[in-house]
Amino acid sequence: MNPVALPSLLPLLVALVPLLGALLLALLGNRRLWLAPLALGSSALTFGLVVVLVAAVRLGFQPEIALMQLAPPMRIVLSADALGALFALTIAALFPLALIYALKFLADDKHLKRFLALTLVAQGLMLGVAFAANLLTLLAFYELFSLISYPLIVHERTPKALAAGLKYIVYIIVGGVFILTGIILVYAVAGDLTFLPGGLLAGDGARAPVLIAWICLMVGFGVKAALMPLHGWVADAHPAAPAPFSAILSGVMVAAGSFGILRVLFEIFGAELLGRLGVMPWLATIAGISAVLAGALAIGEDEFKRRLAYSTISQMAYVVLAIAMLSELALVGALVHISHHAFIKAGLFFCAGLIVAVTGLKKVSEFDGLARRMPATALLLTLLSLAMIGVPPLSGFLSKWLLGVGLIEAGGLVPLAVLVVGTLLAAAYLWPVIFRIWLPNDKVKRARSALAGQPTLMLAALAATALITVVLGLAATLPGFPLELARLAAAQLIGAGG
Amino acid sequence: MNSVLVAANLLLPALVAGPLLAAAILPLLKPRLAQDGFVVAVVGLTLLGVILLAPAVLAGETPTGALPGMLGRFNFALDPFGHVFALVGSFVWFSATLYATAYTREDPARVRFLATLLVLLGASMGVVLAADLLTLFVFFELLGLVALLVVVHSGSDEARAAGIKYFWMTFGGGLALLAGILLVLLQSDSLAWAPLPETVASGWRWAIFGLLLVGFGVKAGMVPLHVWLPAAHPVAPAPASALLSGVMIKAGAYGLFRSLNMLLRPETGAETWGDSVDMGLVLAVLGIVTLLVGVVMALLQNSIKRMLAWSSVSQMGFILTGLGAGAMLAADGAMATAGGLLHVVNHALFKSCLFLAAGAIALRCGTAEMDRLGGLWRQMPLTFACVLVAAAGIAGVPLFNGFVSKSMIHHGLVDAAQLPGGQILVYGEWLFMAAAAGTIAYFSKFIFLVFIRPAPSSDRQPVVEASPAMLAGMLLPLPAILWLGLAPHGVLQGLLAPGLSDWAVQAAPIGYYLERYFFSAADLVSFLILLAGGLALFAMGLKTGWFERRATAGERVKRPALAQTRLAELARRPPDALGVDYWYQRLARWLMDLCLWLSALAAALRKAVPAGIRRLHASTLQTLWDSIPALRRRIWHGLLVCLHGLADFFLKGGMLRRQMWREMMLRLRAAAEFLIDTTLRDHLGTERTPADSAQLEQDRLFAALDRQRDRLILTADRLARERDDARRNDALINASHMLAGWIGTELLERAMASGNQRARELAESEALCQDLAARAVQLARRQLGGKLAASDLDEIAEKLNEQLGTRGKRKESGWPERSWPAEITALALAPDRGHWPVSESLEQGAFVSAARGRIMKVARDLSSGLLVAFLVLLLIAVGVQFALWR
Repeated sequence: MNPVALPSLLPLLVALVPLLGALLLALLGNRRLWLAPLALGSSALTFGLVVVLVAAVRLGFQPEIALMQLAPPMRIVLSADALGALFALTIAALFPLALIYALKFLADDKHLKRFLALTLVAQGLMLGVAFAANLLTLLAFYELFSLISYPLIVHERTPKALAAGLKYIVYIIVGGVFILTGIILVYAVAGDLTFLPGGLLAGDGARAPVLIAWICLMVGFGVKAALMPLHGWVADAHPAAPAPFSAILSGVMVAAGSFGILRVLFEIFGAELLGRLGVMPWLATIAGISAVLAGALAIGEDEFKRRLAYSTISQMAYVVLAIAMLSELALVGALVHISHHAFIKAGLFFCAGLIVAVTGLKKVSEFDGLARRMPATALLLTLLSLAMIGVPPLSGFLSKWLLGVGLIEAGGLVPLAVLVVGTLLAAAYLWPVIFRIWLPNDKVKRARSALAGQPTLMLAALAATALITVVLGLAATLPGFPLELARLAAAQLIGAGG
Repeated sequence: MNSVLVAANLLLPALVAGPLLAAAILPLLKPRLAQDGFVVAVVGLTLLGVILLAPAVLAGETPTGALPGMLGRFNFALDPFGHVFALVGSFVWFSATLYATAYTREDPARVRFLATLLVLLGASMGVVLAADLLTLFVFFELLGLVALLVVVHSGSDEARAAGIKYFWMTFGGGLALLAGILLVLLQSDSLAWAPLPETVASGWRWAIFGLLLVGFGVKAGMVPLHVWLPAAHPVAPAPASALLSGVMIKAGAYGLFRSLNMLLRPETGAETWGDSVDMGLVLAVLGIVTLLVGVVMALLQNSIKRMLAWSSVSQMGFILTGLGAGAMLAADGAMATAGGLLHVVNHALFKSCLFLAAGAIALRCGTAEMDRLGGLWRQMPLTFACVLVAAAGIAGVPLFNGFVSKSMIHHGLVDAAQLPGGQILVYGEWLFMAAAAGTIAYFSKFIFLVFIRPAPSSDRQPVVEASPAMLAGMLLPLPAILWLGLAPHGVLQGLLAPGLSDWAVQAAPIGYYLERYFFSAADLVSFLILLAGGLALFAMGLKTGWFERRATAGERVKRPALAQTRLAELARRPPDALGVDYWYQRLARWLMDLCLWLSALAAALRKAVPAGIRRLHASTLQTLWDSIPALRRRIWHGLLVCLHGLADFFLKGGMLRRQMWREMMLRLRAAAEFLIDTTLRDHLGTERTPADSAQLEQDRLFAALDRQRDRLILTADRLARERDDARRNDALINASHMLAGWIGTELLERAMASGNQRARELAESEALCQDLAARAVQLARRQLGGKLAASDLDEIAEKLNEQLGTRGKRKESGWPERSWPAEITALALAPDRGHWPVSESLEQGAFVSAARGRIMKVARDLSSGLLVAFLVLLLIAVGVQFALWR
């Protein structure tokens, strides 16, 4: 089923609206009153536009727009296929929640306007990544949004945050160099940079440059996708960034790396070429080790946000593991896992932020008896943790099931064992948190409440992610939900061509 | 019939979804009576619904239904086995709920408890009505994990510890189950309860069996996965214990039954049953081990609830033995399998009654320890009657239901033992009989200690009978116990036999049993032997004091002589390492330590790598780096001398040209030689002659002083900017630069000349820097005001001498005047601000630093001049064009 290309302003609008919103915010945002409507209005408008886009994609269209042409191969083109639409839907649904959360979390921060504006810019750029139709567009938006994330990570300007930001930017820049090298090699071999379903390089000649290009691109995107051993920035960046941005970091930014890997693997190299190159088992091995090792390391982390950061590394490694299987079922599982994980992990980071805001506690060992003080947060934290562990009928179970089906069909018993061990480790690092929270509160930790008033907005954002998690689990087959889009995308990526 | 079927199809999902929805509605009802009534009504309606489905099932129909959700639909189907489980489950649930409304009267968390019971009912219905493996898994996991809430309900430490153990075992079992289901999907491409295709290899079948065995076995309390059961069942509130033991662990048996008989069996119509016979053997052996372990541990217990929990383990062993023997006997295994399934029903009935009674006793007497109770037959007569009937059932007394199922299982076991490969079951049969006797023994102990014997201490409040609702819950199962004991034909031949024959297991053995063995003399005699054995065991127990409670600290307990032997001591308190629980905990702790060790390793690496790089830098790279400035300096020195010479050469005129040229060549050659020598020595030689190391030392001192001079200029710059903000005039800043540079150069000259320790200290001194910078700014202001005198500069020079402790040569005040091209050239060639060459006269370095401000001003003037020149030229060009054009 080939989608029909539809020239349309929609992808451009979707990427542009948040950027305009950021601009307006920067200009007009000096009045406190206008911050919320501007920020939420632009992200809500973006969400609406993305929904329209998803509807168009479901009907079989592929809206695209060519923006400019610098020289024949260097075009900036945005086009929305099923994969892009899925990623864009996740982004567009997550950012409003993070913005709502940030309005309360950073309410006392004097740089709130800067934070909101930069977040909107990041959203626009990420949507550009989702809709990129060739490698150059992808690179441009990808690098831009990586750089924009730096001020968001070091927002608090503490020495720790600056150190984490430095580590992040060094990793990202080095990764960017690798991506650029890869792109140059791809251009040298293929003469073009567009994403073709079935692979641009499919059938192309010399093995060595293609292999080197693959390695460069994998390393480059792997830095963002937190593939071990390129994961060093993740564990420091997450605790350093403020909670709403940590949620975005874990939810969609790291996923952007996997997204890049997906695009490059299936629409530049193509499944058939990859099979011939024989590199996928290596990627699968690295991803498998990553998943298990990151899970094991998460157990030893006392700081809650660091624990969640290692959990993200582990979960994203599953996505790469499933991608490396080169099978349609596994790919469906990987794509569904990306979107489901985004909401669950964002919710968990919202919880972490709430706990810090209300009680000032950051370490899991201090969480004893928290439920007495923050019952709603504790309940939602339990729900989201169980979703992360993979308890039916929540969304985490659904994505694990699909991953399991795909992995076992394509890869046999070893990836299944990795999945099972990883689930066990996930329970090992999340169950103690759940357990401690519900202990009786005899030894009340002297906790400060730096929050003025009730954190209703934050709780609302958190409840929204929990609701999304439940709905995505129970009603996964509704039209327009990630499952359907993932199936469409997988069919396009693997079904066509190779 | 069609409309009945349609109604049945609609009823199925309602049976699952109804209790779940009701649990959501329950917190909305406020009055306690309304809550009680609502819960009882919902459970009653569920029971009614299951009963209403009976005609359809008995007629051979298979109603199906579906709930939308997840990957499409949750599929439900009702066959005779599901119906049997659903019927007994909802019946026991009804009696337990009636009981619970009274039991939780004082409980602050009663709404949560009742809502959880409703959810668990919905989940159990979902499990037994599931038509495919995914639906089964979802509801199975839901059942397991929501039950955690009732385990930790009381909030005590013991409950919490039991909850942890329960969670991990359930979760681990769930993972194994998931893996097994995925393997089934892989091998057969479908998740329905249908035999795996013929082509599936034996290895895969065993793998699937192993995983499903673990997955369902955890739930069923099979040894060695039973460790959670004796911990979790006692700590839950009594109605929840009744349901846990009565219904929820049966889900495990249900799963194992279906796996063996519907999944792992060969296709219907095949000749041999292949692997499933061996799998049945494995299950039967495990079942026997389970029943033995359960019996032995139950005998040792003092707490009523814990004893009942171990008894559940033991009875599940009976069930699993029956199922296993039935699978071994393949097409002839109906008797054993039906015996196992019937025992499921029976056990649900009498165990729930026993747990409810135990709860009533605990509630009324305040304790559930057998050694503290006694003489309750008079005070709680109805409870006593219930317990008697239920105990008779569980002990296998004829006329009660346990007798039927246990004899069926026993006969099945005997038949299976006669199969080739079943020899081990001969010993198994003896253990079976011993366990049956043991069951009689521990129930005799229970009844004797709690009800019959006089109470040990008479200073206790009088105990009243349990409340009516609780009694109703206890009394409800009794008629069923009696009916099934007297006339099991209904269930056996009406439900189980047709169901089994649908799966190619001939129903004839069941009929055979009912004709030949039921109430036969052989069976009655076996029972009498068991009774004798059990009572003997009980008597011996009393004698040896096994039944005496464990001594608390500092208390002296009188024990009969036999009880004080070493063996009795050991029996009373078996060492931990014999138990599987101990090894599980060790394994868990070891895995946890491994993960923590990995984290510690990662953290150490994270710290060590930068430290290592730093050390590498300091040791190797630093010396390399240090030698480079020396190199660089020499190169620049040489170049600068050239250029200086050239500039002088071209600008000064030709008189001394030749002399200057020769001098320049000499200098160049000296520089080149020096360069080559030092290069060779620095990078190839390892030893440094004392002259070289002195040189290095000098270079280091110079570098430090140079840095100090830089700092001085920067500080002066900063101070000047602070002071000058009112006027925004660069003059002060420039002047401060120049003066600070001059002072710095003075310091440098003098310090290099003196070369002592003091010089080194001054090179690092921050205070000196600040002081000199302040003075530089001060002097600059005076210079701008035109009031600077030579004496001021001398004063500074004096002060420096003082600081250094030397009398260095006095420099003339002021700064040298150089032509501006030379200055600009020198400035342009400066690699950076700091490292300037040192020559004997130090003039080259001095003039650049000192005149920096002037040079920059000159450059600005120059550039503005050039700009003016350019504009003028442009105007001229335009004018010319204009003129030409015109």
